Amino acid sequence: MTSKLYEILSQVFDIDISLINDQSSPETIENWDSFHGLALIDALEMEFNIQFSISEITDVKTVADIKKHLKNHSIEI
Amino acid sequence: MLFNTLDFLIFLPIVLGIIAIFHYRKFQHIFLIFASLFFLYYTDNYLVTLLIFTILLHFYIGRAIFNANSLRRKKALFVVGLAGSLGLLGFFKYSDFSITQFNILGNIFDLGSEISLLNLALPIGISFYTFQSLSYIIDIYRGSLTPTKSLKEYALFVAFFPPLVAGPILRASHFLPQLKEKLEKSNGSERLKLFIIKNADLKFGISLMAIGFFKKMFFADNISPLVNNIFSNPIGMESFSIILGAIAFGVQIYCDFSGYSDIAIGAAAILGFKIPLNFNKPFFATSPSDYWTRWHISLSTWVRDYLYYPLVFKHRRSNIMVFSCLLASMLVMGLWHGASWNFIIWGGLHGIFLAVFTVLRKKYGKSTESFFKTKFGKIFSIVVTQYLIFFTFIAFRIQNFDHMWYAMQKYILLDFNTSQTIEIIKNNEFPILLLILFTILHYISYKKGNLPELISKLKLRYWILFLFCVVLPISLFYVGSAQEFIYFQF
Repeated sequence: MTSKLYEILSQVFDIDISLINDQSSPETIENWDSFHGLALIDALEMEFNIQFSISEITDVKTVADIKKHLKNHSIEI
Repeated sequence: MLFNTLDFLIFLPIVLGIIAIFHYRKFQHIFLIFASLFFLYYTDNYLVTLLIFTILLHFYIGRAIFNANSLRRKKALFVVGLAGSLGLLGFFKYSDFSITQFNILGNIFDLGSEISLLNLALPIGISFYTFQSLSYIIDIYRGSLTPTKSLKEYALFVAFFPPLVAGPILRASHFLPQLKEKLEKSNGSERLKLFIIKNADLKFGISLMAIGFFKKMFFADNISPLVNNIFSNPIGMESFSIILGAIAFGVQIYCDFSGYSDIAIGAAAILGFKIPLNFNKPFFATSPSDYWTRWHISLSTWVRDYLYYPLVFKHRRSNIMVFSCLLASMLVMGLWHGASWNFIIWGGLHGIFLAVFTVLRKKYGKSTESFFKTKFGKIFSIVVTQYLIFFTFIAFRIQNFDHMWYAMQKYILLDFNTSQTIEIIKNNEFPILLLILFTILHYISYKKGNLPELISKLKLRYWILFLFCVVLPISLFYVGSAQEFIYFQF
């Protein structure tokens, strides 16, 4: 599942998958702005058939945080 | 207390000295709270009570929201917390603006007598500490933050003097864990030490503060006469003069505000606190959206997290809603800067640019991607973005509507006359030279990444040479009196 998440991140942010790790953040990924942030939410919600809350979205600072919130939605990563 | 005065240059070493001498964590903690309150009291006198009120209100409301056993009660408490601090901000900052608008409407509809203005003094830093404190109760209400049990911890988070009056706007989730770590570290020789001033922090902090003073006192204060020359009355100015004025003001306000942020972050770093950067080479932004990840980052992320996301979240697939929410968020951001129409226009322009860019990117993003990845595409996007950004600075700088409208028309509809601009350049050689020097340094900083970090790692003799190179031009070209930081008025 981690590879699936990285694949989505790679597509949304248009960067090589090898550049993504759990510590990746808006500071390390140039394209990670509010527009791509919302695009990422869309992609994750569609892929995993879930709905995030506002607090989950604003809490995300790194890829590890996304994993944490996916786990809260019972998505095993 | 202004950073660029003798008062602060006496205040800071005294604070650091006392922290360094008395290694009792409780004392250091309480001393820092009182030093911070004194820092504000020194300029703001009795208005410091508003800060104390905000601290008490949000500390107790935050705990009450967290402990509330029903959603209804949570909501009610949250509304009280919001209304309390926004009410204060609104009363002190926007009363006279609202009364003026009301009187104008009254005159239009011939309603008779006018309401007299309150002429209230604007409490320094109120926009900054109100937003900082609000983020705390919003995070608790959303369930993403556990409130602190200690009023002293919360008081230092809101009142911490380096970023108190002009930011960066801190987040509790970032600051409180750092404070807790200092308070709870209790092993071995560091048993009683709280704020240990480390050499590396000291060197980094001083480097950043030196850069901040350099930006403010060497660049901003010396570019200011050129800006005043052009914008005090722009009527009759050529297009190129207006463009020069817009660029000069953009550089002035960047050096002024990012200089303040650097000094604040540097002073906090000396005390061992990490505050995120507030600016990141904004004049190399490649889009309006990229610009807001580089300019006043602590405010733009605040507006994004606490205003834009909640507004747009449920409607993010609708272009019209994305457009409207971006516009609304940026109008609020404009109004945050000051109770004046020019700031609202400034925010509105940014909102339109952001919204148009976001909608265009949604539609044409993929098909134009390859072009914008080329070197030419990148330079093209930087030039177009900066042309728009400097255009918005006209609204930020000029309050008189006739003057603003004239300058905006000239900025867009070029007249290609040059004689007056050449005259202005001849009469302002030093500010022009500073603009060129700034461009070179901004480019080096863009290419090299984190310059303060690199400078702080220099060998001691080179580092002292760096300080000398910074202090010398500041003292040689000091304008004669401490100029207020532009963002103090917000």
